[in-house]
Amino acid sequence: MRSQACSTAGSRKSLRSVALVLLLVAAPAVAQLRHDVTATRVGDYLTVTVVADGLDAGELRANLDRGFTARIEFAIRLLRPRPAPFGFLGYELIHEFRPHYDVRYDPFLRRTVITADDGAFYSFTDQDELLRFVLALPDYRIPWSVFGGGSDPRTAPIAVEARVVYDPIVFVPALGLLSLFRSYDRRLTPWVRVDPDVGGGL
Amino acid sequence: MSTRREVGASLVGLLSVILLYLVLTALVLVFAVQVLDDLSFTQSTGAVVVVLLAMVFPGFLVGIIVIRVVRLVRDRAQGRPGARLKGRLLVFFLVIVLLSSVPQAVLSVAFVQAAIRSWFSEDTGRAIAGGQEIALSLYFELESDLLAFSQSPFVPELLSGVDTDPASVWQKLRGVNPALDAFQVFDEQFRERFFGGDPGLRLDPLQAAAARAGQVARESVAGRSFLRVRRSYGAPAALDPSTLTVFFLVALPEGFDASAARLTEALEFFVQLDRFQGEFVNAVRVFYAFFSLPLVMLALLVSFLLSDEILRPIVSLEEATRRVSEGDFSTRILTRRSDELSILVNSFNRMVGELARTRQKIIQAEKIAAWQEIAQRLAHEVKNPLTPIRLAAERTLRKYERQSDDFEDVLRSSVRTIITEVDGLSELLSGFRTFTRLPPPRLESVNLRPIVEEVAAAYATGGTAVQFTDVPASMIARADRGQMRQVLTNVVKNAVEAAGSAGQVSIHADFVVNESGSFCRIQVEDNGPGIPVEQQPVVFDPYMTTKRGGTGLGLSIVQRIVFDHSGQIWFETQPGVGTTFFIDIPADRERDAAGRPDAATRQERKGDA
Repeated sequence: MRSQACSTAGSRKSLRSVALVLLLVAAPAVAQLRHDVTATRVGDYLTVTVVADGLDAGELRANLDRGFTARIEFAIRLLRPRPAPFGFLGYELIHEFRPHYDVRYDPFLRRTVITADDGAFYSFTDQDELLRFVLALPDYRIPWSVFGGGSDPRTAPIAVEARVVYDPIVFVPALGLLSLFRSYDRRLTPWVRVDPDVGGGL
Repeated sequence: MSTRREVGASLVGLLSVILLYLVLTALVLVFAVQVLDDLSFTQSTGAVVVVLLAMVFPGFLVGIIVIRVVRLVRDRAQGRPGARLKGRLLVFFLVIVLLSSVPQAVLSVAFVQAAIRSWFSEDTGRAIAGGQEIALSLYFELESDLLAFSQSPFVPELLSGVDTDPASVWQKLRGVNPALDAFQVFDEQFRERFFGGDPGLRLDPLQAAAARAGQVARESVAGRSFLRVRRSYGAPAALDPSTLTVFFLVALPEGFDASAARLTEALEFFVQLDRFQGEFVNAVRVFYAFFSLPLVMLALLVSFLLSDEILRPIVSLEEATRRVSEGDFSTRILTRRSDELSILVNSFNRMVGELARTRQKIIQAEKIAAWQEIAQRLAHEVKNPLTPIRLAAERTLRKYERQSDDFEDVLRSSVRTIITEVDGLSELLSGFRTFTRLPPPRLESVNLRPIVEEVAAAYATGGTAVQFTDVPASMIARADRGQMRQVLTNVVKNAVEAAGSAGQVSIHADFVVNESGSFCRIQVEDNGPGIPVEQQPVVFDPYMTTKRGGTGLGLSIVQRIVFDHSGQIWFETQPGVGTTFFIDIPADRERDAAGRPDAATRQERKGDA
C-alpha cells in the first residue's frame, strides 16, 4: 500500500452528498468508529497519518467467516482557500486520495489476509494485531507535485480532511449495483479537517 | 402555414431530441460499465452518473412533456385546429411505445431473474464449495504429510551420507517419500551445502533464514508455489559445524494458487448472491426503470414533435379551407416538403386558384346577365308608356287635320295622358337611380320602436286597420335610421296595399338569438290574397311588381338595405290567407342588456331565409 491512489479533482463532495441523499443511501448511525488525523509538511512531501478505532474485532471476524470481504478506506482530501472573490465559498478541493485495505479470510493459509490498493499483501492470525493494522494509515506521503504550478505548496495555506469508511461487504461485480440502494451496514466517520504542521525540511 | 421559422424550429427540436438520446445512451453505457466494473470502487463517478440519469434527465424530459401536454389540453379546450387529432396521435404513439417496451421490460427482468436462479443455483454453489473443500483437503494432506515426514525419526539416518553422496541421499529420500520435489541443506551460517531435486524450488539464503522451524509454510518462487518445512538435524561427523538446517519442499500443482483464488472468489460470489438474490432482482428492476422510463419519455417527446410535423400541413389545410369557405380566395399554403402532403397542398393551391378564376368569371357573367335583365325590363317599362303617348299624339294630330269640333277636348285628354305617362317614366327612372345609388348605411345605435310606431301611424289613417302589438319599449339595433324608415315604409306600404281597404295589417317585434347572433326581429303580417306560388321566387327581383303603376324596385331596395345591415329578410305566404314578412336587424350588443326586456329572449335555430 502506501502509494497514492489519485482520483480526479472536482466538487465531488457535494455531488456525492446529493447522490446519497437523493438515493436514500443514508449511512447508518456511526456506532463507535472514530478517527484522528495528523498532517505534517516534511521535505517534498506532505505526510498524513490517520488512525481509527472503535471497530469490533468480533463483528469483523463474523463477516469474514461468512465468506465476505470487508474494506477499510481512508479518504484524504487536500484543500486550499478559494481565491478572491470566491473566498466566501470556503475551501476548494485540490485532490482526493482513497487508499484502502481489503480484508478476507484465506482458508488455505488459515489466516486473515489483507490486500492493499497497491497490491501489497499481508496476513495475520492475531485479531488484535490485524485490527491495529487495518485501522491505521501511517505516514501516507503526498508529494507536492500534486499541487501543480502556482504558489509554493510548502508554504501555501492548505488544509487536510480525512475520514474512515468501513464496508463490511465488498460486493462482487454486478452485485455492486446493490450499494446504490442501501449502505449495508457501512460505517463512516465524519470529515475531520486539520492544518498541516510544519515539520522538518522546510 | 409552414413557414421557414416553423421548419427551423422543428428541425432544431428533432436534433435536440437526437442529441438527448445519444447522451442518454452514452450515459447508460458508462453506467453499465461502472456497475460491471464494481460500482462500489468508483462511487464518485457512479454518483454523478446516477444523479444525471435518475434525476436530471428524467426531470428535464418530464418538464418538457408536462408543458406540451398542458398546451395540448389548452388547445383542445379552445378548439384549436388539429388539437384533437394531435391528442389521438399521441395516444397512438404512446400505445405503440408501451406495447414494445412493457413486454420487453417484463421479459428482461424475468430473464435476469430466471438466469440467476438457474445459472447460480444452490447445486452450483454446493459444487463450488465442495471443490474448495477437496482442494483444502488435498492441501492440508500435503501439509500434514510433509510435516510428518520431516519429523520422522529415520530422516536423520537418511541424511547421514549427505556430505559424501548427496545424490544418493536424495534418491533415498524420494524412495521413502515420493511426494518430495526438492531438498536443500544449509549450514549454521545459512550457506547452502547441498541441493537435490527440482532447481526451480531453490530457496535463497535470506528466505531460508526467515523461515520458521517446525512449521509448514507456503512459498512462491518465480511464479511456482510450494510447501516447505524447515528442520534442524545433527550433522554427520565429517561436517563442521555440527548442525544442519534442512528444507523439504513439495511443489503444489501448477496453477494451484490461481485456482484456489478463483474458487474462493466464486464461493464468495455465491455466498453474496445467495444472501442478496432477492434484493438484486429488485435492484435490477429499479435499474431497468432508471433507463427505460427516460427512453419512454424520450419516445413521447419525439411523438410530440412528429405529430407536430404531421399535423402542421393538415392544420394549414383546414385553416386555408375555412378561409376559402369564408370567401378569401387569395389564401395559399406555402410548403417546402416534397412528400404526399406537399402534393395535396399544391393541389389545394391550384384548386383555390381555379376557384378564384371561376368565381371571377361567374361574377362577371352574373353582372352582365343582371344588367341585361335590368336593361330588358327597363326597356319594357320605358316602352309601355310610349304606346299611349304615341296613340294620344296620333289621335290629336288626326283631330287637328280633320278640324274636328272636339279637337280641344281630345287635345286636353291627350296632353294629360302624355303628362301622366311621362311622370310615370320619371318616377321609374328616379326609383332606378335610387336603387343603383343606394349609399352604404351609417350604422349607429337606433331604437327601432319609434320608427315602427311612426310608420304604423302613417298608414293607420287609411281604410286598412294597422295593428301595432307586442313591440318592446326599447329595441336597440345597429342600423341607419333613414334606411330603416325606408325599409319599414316599403314593407308596411306593400302590406297595406295587399290587404286592401277592408284588410288588416299587424306589426310585431321581438329580440331573437340564433347561431348567427342576436337580432331585432320585425314581422309585418297582412291578410291579403297572398303571393302566387309562381311569383314567390322573384318577389325580391328588381322591376317585379303585380301592382299597376308600381316600379317593382321597393322590395329589391328593402332586401339590399337589410343585407347591407348584415340582416336577413324572408316571407311566409299562403294564397287566400295572407303574407308575413320577417326582417332581422342585428341588435346592438353593447346596449343589448339595457334594451332587452327579458333575458329569456327567444332562442331559435332558424333555417335559411
